[in-house]
Amino acid sequence: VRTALRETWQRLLAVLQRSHRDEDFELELQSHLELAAAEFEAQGVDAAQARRRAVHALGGRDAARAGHRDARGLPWLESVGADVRYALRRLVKAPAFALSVTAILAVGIGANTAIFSVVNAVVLRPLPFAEAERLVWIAPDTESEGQSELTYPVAIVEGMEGGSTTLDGLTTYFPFYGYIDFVLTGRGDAERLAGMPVGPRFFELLGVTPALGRTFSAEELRPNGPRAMLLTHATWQRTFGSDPAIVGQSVTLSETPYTIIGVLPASLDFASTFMPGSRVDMFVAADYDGLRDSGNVFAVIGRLRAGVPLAAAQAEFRSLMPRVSSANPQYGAVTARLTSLEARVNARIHRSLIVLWAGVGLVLLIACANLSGLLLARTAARSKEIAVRLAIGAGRGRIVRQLLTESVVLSLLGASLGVPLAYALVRYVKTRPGLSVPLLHRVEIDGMALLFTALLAIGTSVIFGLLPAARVAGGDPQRAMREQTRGSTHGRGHAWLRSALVVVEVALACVLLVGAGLLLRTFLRVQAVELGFAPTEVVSLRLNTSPQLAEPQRRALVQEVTRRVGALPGVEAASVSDALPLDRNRTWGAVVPGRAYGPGERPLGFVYIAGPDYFRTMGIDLREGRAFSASDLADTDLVVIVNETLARALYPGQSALGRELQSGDRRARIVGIVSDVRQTSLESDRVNQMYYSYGQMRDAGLDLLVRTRLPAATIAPAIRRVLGELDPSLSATDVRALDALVERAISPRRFIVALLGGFSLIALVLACVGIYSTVAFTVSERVQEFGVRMALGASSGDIRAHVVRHTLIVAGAGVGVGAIASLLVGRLMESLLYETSAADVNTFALTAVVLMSVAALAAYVPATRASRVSPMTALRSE
Amino acid sequence: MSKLDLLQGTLDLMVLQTLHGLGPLHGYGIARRIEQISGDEVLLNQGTIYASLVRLQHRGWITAEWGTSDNNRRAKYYALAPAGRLALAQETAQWHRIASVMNRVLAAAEGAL
Repeated sequence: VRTALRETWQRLLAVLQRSHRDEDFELELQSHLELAAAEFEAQGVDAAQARRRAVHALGGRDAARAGHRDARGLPWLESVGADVRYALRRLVKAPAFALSVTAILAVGIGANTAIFSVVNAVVLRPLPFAEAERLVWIAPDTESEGQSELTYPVAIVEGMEGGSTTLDGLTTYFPFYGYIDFVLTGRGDAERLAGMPVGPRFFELLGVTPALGRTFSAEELRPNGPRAMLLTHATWQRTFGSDPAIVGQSVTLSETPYTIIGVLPASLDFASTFMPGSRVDMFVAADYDGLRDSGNVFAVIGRLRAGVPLAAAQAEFRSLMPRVSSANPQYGAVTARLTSLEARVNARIHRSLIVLWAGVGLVLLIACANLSGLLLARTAARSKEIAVRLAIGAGRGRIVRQLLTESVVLSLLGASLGVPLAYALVRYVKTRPGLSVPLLHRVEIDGMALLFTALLAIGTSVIFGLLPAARVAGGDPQRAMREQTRGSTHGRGHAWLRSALVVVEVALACVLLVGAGLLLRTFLRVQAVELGFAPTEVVSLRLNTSPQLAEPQRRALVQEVTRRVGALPGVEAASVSDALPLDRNRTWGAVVPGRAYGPGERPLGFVYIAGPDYFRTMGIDLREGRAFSASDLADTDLVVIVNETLARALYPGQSALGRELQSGDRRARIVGIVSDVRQTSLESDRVNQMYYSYGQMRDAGLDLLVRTRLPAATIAPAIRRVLGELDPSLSATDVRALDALVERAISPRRFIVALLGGFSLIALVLACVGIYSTVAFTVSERVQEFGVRMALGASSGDIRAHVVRHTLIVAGAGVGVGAIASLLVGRLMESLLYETSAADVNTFALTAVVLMSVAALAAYVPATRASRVSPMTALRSE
Repeated sequence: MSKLDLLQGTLDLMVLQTLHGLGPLHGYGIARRIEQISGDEVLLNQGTIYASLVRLQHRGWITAEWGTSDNNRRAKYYALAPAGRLALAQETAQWHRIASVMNRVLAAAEGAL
């Protein structure tokens, strides 16, 4: 082994000292020949003859040099080096070609790297928890997205925990975003912190260790235990200036002292993982006893015992749940479906990302086809040179290797420019505000992405370089030489291959365009849905009131706030609500008193506890009856306003107005019917909704809503002034335009559509360039033929029409193939579409028209050049 | 009678033995010596001797130095290094083993004919 190492080292040294060793060997050769010649001369041979014999006995100078060099150095390394130098020299000589190829590859590889890092962060990499594959999401078996229907009451959670043997344990969090808020005071301006109550052993079960301090102790989890909080890493940095001594400090939250017991690691972005698009600033211990009578309040996460498959746990819960339900009959038949947490977290975005990934892969394939065509043209131009080299004995393998080296060099150049591009793209995606894509915070160009890029570059170069190289390897040098001589229209094989490449390019572009078209159509459909409310010109502010205020005083204060804010100049209407469309939500039962319901038939409805002018402020249509009035108060009859869907569900075929609705043990008279409002997503319509007056029902934290033409930045200070005048303990935080809620809801679609649209635009440009360069090359090859045709009487119009027609036939074939492929691909995309068929005729027709127009355009310029050929020049040019 | 094609590695052994027998020698001298001793039976392009010399140098078995020949010409002289002496002994033993095995095998095969 030591000898081998020593030898390799010596060889490497020899490579480095190449010119020195060569000179030395030349001298040695010379001395050898002189010695040999001298011996021959001594035998009586004349000088010239002696020299010749000496060279003959040596076996030729070149063979000796080659043998010496091979034994001395690392032959393969030197030939690769030579190939790379040769490729670079050739590229420098063709800067336009090198630049355009590098640019195309940079775009293709850069986009692929960026999307790969998104896919890697969101789909491929495990969640940022210890042994994340063992974590399961446990929720009632329902299709609904209403939070109350995806959660469990405390008693059921305890029943599941006590009864399960397949789980190491389970824990909970309180997923009603925005319902548990704290106002931090005593540190400058009052600041609202979104708190997340979590159940026992929450962080331990997820396998998250705090970066500073500790997690909740048993004491702190007990009711009325010491009040403690954990900060997220972001809050610690933002609000507490990354104070390393923060643990143990006491802060005032909503007028109650809390001790900061720890800071979570940056890797845990709870909101981004569990509730993308919303914000969690801090964690507190969930008060199980205080919430025992609150119905469905907790989302449940379990950890499978090591080695237990999900199916086994699911089977156990199937038999466990009826037992738990019968022990708590007040909740009816409670079900449980176990999903891996991973699948749950990226359920919505998973398919979209895969489509995006496929899309960007298509772009790269188109780029490959494009470059393949360009290189093919380049090698065709060199075919005579290559034929000569083959004829005088160059190895085919050597030439193929040289051509492949050129494409590898191009690819690596493209990749090195593509990486910065990917960085820019990832940065752009990450900094989009309000983009509700889970785990977006951990998207980065990491080692994995760079490895992917390297593999991509190599793979790409092989794909686009192999075809031209294979042509050389399979080519017949004699024929190649013959084809270069006069008269013949160039090799049929080449022309056929180039057409095939155009077909592939157009077909791929077609698939991409159809995909993007379908998603764009869906996007427009979603954007045009009847929201049921008019978000534009409505601003919402979180209204924080002192927790010390008694309920009647608080109501009076809120009423005064809405009255004064409503009277501000530029304000059309003002009101309050404790839930907003496309934002936080909860559901309650909504039944007709006295009616018997079968299991699972009891309707649920989204609940809004709102103020008198709510419908006018939000732009929700009042269809029948009346809105709330200032006199709907605690001491008057409980009234409720329902939406049309709930009215129909409760009293089909008759008017619900004036009838009763029961929720829990509360019976209320329906005094109004309003239009439906989209709640959980833009796509889900016809959900039950009911509104109570905040004068009659305890709310869960109010948003102040203001309809005004003034921008939020202008109206917010005016409102804050009103609040300050009224009661200094009032504050307004979280100023949002309601449009932002709609934007957040549509943002994942916008994200996908914008990216896929961008990719298909690139694909279109690439296809256009590909067609153009192919036609241009073909025309240049056929100049003489066109000259002959024109000499024989063809008009320039004939020539132009001929070229354009031929291109259109090829492009048409591409569109045909692409359309069939799109039909197949479209079916995979069906779940991403909304009110759009995967075989949408308009999209397909438009795509075909666009592609054919681009093809005609790309062919027109070279065709015109062909038609301007002067017969005399063309014929003389041979 | 046709000339013998050399087995891979045997040229190296011949070079080592030549240097061992004659002391420092230039490339041409080594080549001529092998031709003479083999009675011109070995097919040797004199050029191939240099590949062998480079290999042996890399292994540290021989050393090289420019010097002057008897008739006053500059030439590169090769000499056996201590490591080369050791290697020569090992390789020679190895060669004898192979040769005796080959002889036995071939003799047995002839007997069976």
